[in-house]
Amino acid sequence: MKIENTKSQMRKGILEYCILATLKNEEAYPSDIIEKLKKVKLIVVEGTLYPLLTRLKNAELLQYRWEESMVGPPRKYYSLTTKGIEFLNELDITWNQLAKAVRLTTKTKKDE
Amino acid sequence: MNKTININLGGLIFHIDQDAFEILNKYLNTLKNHFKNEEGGDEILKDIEGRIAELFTKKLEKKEIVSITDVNEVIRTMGNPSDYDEDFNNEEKTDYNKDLLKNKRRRFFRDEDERMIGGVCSGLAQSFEQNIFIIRMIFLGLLFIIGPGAPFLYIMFWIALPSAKTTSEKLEMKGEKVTVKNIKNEFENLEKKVRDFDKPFFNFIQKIIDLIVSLIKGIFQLIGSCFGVFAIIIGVILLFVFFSAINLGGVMIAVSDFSWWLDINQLGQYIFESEAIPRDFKTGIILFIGVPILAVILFGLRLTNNTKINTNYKIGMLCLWFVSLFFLFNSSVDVSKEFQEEARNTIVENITVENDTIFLSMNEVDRVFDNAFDAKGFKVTPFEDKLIGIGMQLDILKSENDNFRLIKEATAYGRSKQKARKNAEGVSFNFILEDDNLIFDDFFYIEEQKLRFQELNLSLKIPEGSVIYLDHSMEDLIYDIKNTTDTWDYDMLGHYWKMEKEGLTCISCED
Repeated sequence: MKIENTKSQMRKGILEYCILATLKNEEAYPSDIIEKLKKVKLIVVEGTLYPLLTRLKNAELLQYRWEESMVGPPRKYYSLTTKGIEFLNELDITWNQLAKAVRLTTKTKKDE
Repeated sequence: MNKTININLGGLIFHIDQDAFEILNKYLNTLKNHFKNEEGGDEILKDIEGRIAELFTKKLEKKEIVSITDVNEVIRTMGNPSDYDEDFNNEEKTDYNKDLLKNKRRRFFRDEDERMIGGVCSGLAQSFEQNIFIIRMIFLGLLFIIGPGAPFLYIMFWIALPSAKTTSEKLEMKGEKVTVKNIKNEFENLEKKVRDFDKPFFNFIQKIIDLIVSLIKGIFQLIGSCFGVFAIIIGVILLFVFFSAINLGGVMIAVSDFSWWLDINQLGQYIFESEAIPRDFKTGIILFIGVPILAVILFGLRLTNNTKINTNYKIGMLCLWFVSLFFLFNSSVDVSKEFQEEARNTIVENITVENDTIFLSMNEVDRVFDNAFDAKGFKVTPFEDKLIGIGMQLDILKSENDNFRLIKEATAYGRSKQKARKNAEGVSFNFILEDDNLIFDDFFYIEEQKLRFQELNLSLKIPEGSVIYLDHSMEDLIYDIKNTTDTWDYDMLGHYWKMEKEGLTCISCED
């Protein structure tokens, strides 16, 4: 059992959840999402994001439209599909349950 | 000169150096290989290419050609396939950060995410892997020990340490420690490089040069770091000593010539007319000494941490130092006014003795005054927290009448004539008469406790026919006493001298 392994597994689910969450009420292009996730240190290298976005899109949770950019190549603006919104809502519930569970189980005797 | 190549990346044209192109091409091929079995692999690759194009566009705002540095930086930002391999079930999988941390030296940054003031403590806490609370307590503790030096130190770190903005900087903050093991690893890597030479496809000469360059670089970095650490340590010690000197009124330092000087408060009180040290002087001296100390520490940080110090700060520090000269000049002009006028005060004291022979000696001959301030016959010293004069001189002359008299002539300076006179009147000198023994004090009192070039000239007038004996303890007191045999002062000691009509004559000397 390697600590890296456990850490990665924890991070993986949360990363998908957070990507969906950043798109909750607004559309965004990858650089926006990267900025946000980097800030909270969820991702380290940007390359991580692109395979995930493609997979989420292939799973029909995300959709995108093209938009011309003044300063670079055309950008893909991602947004949630209806399925994606439902998916996110379910994840919200699961997360709250998990967070509560973690909070309660990691609570030390002293805190009680 | 470098050959450039035109490439189409994400629909945009870039000029790119050949060597940079080769690295980029290799990187993209690796990615291609990695995603080839994945559904939508082409699309992922296109997205990544698009992002790289975007990053290049940002970099090319000020120049035209993509260089090898740009490519390496972009690759670091994007990461290697192993960094975002999603096959988490693979037991061999390493986590995202590990590859990035490899071979990366730890640098110090400020962590503004968790800051209270400037993020200095939180940055240091991350780098030293300590609890942030402990680091903050240490800084608070410093505040009690070196007083204003602690905020000073803090501000210095604030200036010197960059804020960890990018993710890779945030990681560097927690990067690998520079340990013996790491250095050993470096050498093993070097060894590996050397072995690689056997492979025919390596350009032999190129590799040799690379090796030598990296070796020299490494040595210089090591020397630089050591020197930098040394500079920081020296700087911090100086800062500590300096601020303690200002706050506590002096630091105990074994070098005796030094301790008087370091006692800035005491020295200030003796020199300035006011009770407290004028703010101008204090500010001046803090900047005058503090700024160079700061510069030493910043220089050390620069060497060890490879931090560039902004030119504005350098200029700012230089300006501050010149401002300090202005302050010091101002207060020295102020002080010089205290020496504008000179005044003299003469006291004549009659001495009544039973016999015609008196014995002259000085009190407490074994006492040694440390830290004497000596300038042109003017000599003062702090003794038991009092400023006393020790530079008086005694002459022996013929009395115009039949009395023994001691004439005490004091001179001193002051801002005005009255002030100078008051300072001269503040000089007092004592002696005791026990039977035939006349015992002089080895110092004179300075009532004002200010250093105003007080001088004291003593003349002992003795009537014709009387005899004096000069004890050896009088050595430092007598000065240029006229006598009939033109004997040196020192040779007059230990003998009886009679005041004849012509002057003092030795009556116990052998020819």
